[in-house]
Amino acid sequence: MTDKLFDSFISNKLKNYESPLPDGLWEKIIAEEDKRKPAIIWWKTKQILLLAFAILFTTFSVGYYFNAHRNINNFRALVENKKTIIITNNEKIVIENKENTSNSVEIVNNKKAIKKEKITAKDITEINDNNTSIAASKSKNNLNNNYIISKKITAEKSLQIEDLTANKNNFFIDNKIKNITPTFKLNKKNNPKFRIINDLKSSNYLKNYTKNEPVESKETKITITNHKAFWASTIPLKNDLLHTKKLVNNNVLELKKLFNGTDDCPSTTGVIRNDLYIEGYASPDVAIKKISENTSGNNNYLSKKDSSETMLLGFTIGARLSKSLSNNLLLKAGLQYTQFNEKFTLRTENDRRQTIIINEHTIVRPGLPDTTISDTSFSLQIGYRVRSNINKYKNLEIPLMLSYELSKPESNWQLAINAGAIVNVTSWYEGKTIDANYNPIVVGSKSNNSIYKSQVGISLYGGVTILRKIDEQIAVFAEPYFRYGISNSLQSSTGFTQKFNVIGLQFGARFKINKNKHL
Amino acid sequence: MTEQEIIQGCVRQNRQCQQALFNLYAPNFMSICLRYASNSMEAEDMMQEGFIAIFKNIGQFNNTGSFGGWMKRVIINAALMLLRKNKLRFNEIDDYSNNNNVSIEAYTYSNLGEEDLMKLINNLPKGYRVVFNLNIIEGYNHDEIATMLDIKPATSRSQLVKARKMLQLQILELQKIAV
Repeated sequence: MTDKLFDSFISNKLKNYESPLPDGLWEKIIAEEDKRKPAIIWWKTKQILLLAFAILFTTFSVGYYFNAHRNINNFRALVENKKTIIITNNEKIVIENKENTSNSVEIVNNKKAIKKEKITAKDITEINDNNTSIAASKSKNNLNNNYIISKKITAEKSLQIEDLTANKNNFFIDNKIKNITPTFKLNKKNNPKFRIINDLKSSNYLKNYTKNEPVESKETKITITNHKAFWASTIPLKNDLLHTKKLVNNNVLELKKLFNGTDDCPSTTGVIRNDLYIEGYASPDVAIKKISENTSGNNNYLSKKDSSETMLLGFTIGARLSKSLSNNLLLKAGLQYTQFNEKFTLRTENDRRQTIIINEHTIVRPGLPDTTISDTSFSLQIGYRVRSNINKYKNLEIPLMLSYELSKPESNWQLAINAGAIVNVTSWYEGKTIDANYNPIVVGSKSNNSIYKSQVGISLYGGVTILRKIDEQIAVFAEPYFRYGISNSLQSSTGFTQKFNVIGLQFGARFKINKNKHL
Repeated sequence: MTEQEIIQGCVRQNRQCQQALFNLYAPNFMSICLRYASNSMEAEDMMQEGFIAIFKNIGQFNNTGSFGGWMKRVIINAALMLLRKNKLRFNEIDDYSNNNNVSIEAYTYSNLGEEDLMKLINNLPKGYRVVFNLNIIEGYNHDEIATMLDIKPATSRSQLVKARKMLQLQILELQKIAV
């Protein structure tokens, strides 16, 4: 027989030959495949992703709702007044015409640099008690009554008012061009009071004005700028109880800046900072397990247990509310899910595996029937066997902490120190460990032999937050943290204690959800 | 389930489809792995690596050729990778005898079952066995084998000649026993 025929014979015999499969091969393949899948898929992908999506969606929805709602409130009066709005900062505005009228709303985003123009004494006219103008120029330092500033205002100009030291004066500014909001640059902190009247001379406003009369104009609006930015508001409508009350008391609306660079107002309660945030976060965690013996004689067991268990990367996902207690101090509380993962690997020696081998031979002889001979033999393999499993410690917890911001609240970058406690609500466990004979056993929260508590107590929490503001409502943050476990996670009847310390890095987003409270 | 449905299911990582695929092809692939492996444990490892690679890369199969052929290539690559990991070497081994021309009676072949052939191939040194399998049974040429095993084509040819001769001698020995 030639080599070619020989090759062909072998090929034909074996090309499509099928061998019996060893028992458990399929199970072995899927177990190995599951083990090699990326960690996030490993940990019940769908549930985790759904939970993460739900938390982020809720956080974003709440943040968006309050953000949008606040803007509507801020500018509602403008819309109802049917006026032109001039916006000189970059704030997003949501317009809602609640009156369902056909009036058009025009928005001019005036990003052009505004020319400054000083008011001089000749622009100021004193008003006497009869509310008629006194045609006299006053020295700026003697201002102590009601005055009209009759400076022509255009969209491209701002009036710079200096050295107005007397803070009890009322200034009526004649806006000769209707539907234009002038901008004021205030160089003094005592914030003199201004009233802008469109077409002052032709209106009956001054004629009927008395010192103690509340302002009820629906025609005017005020914009005041500070050194870095300004916020815009309107004289509120007459039926706004809160604002009407304020107007009655003060005659003229007084507006104050709270922070440089922000558009917040002081609250009516007088608290300087009154912020409420919702924070959504997720973090990869590294848990460090600490085991110590309760009763003597457990050393060998604990050593074997320790060598068979290795902590893997875990994670935390949650949401919390954050309320300012003062300018720099915030109280935070929420709900989070934490999962610690652990790899259990146990190598057992002298593991025996017996395979039955049956060889069949067919002997063909001329003139005789074919004879089939079966040889049965056994193959015994002795080796070690490695059993592995992923153990999961799952916890539902309440984080409760104080956060002290080291930076000014208005800064775009903020650094804060957090300290507090993580209170466990409930815990559950599933996995394997070794028994007293060093054999693997399944231990779970639902099993009768569970050695784990369903409520594992408290951990102390410390972290540092680095926060970056995206805008006035939204910020993102990173928070490296450390958790120190002070409670034993095992039942008291167990001969040893087990505690977890955790190092993690949270990434999250913060939304401001409270409304601005104007005077 | 048709083969196309099984493939689509495997692309979606559907476990039932993966098992159907396994049931369909595993016996043939097991015999391939047994031909390359030194023992059944090694063959199981090859099967495991091969099927994990198939499930992972099944999305890359572009339906241009035979799906069975594509899977067979993946299995063989997995087997070779494992052999390489276990230090596959192509050493020159002394011939069993000085006979350059081995003469085997044709009727001897009729007595040879697949199991016998598998055993005889398994008795070949690892390097001989791999080249013999790749060339004679899988049909790769020596240039392709050289690329796959990172050896020279001449080495592949030489290993094949020696493998064939050693196999023929083994069959001859069987023939003598039978007589």
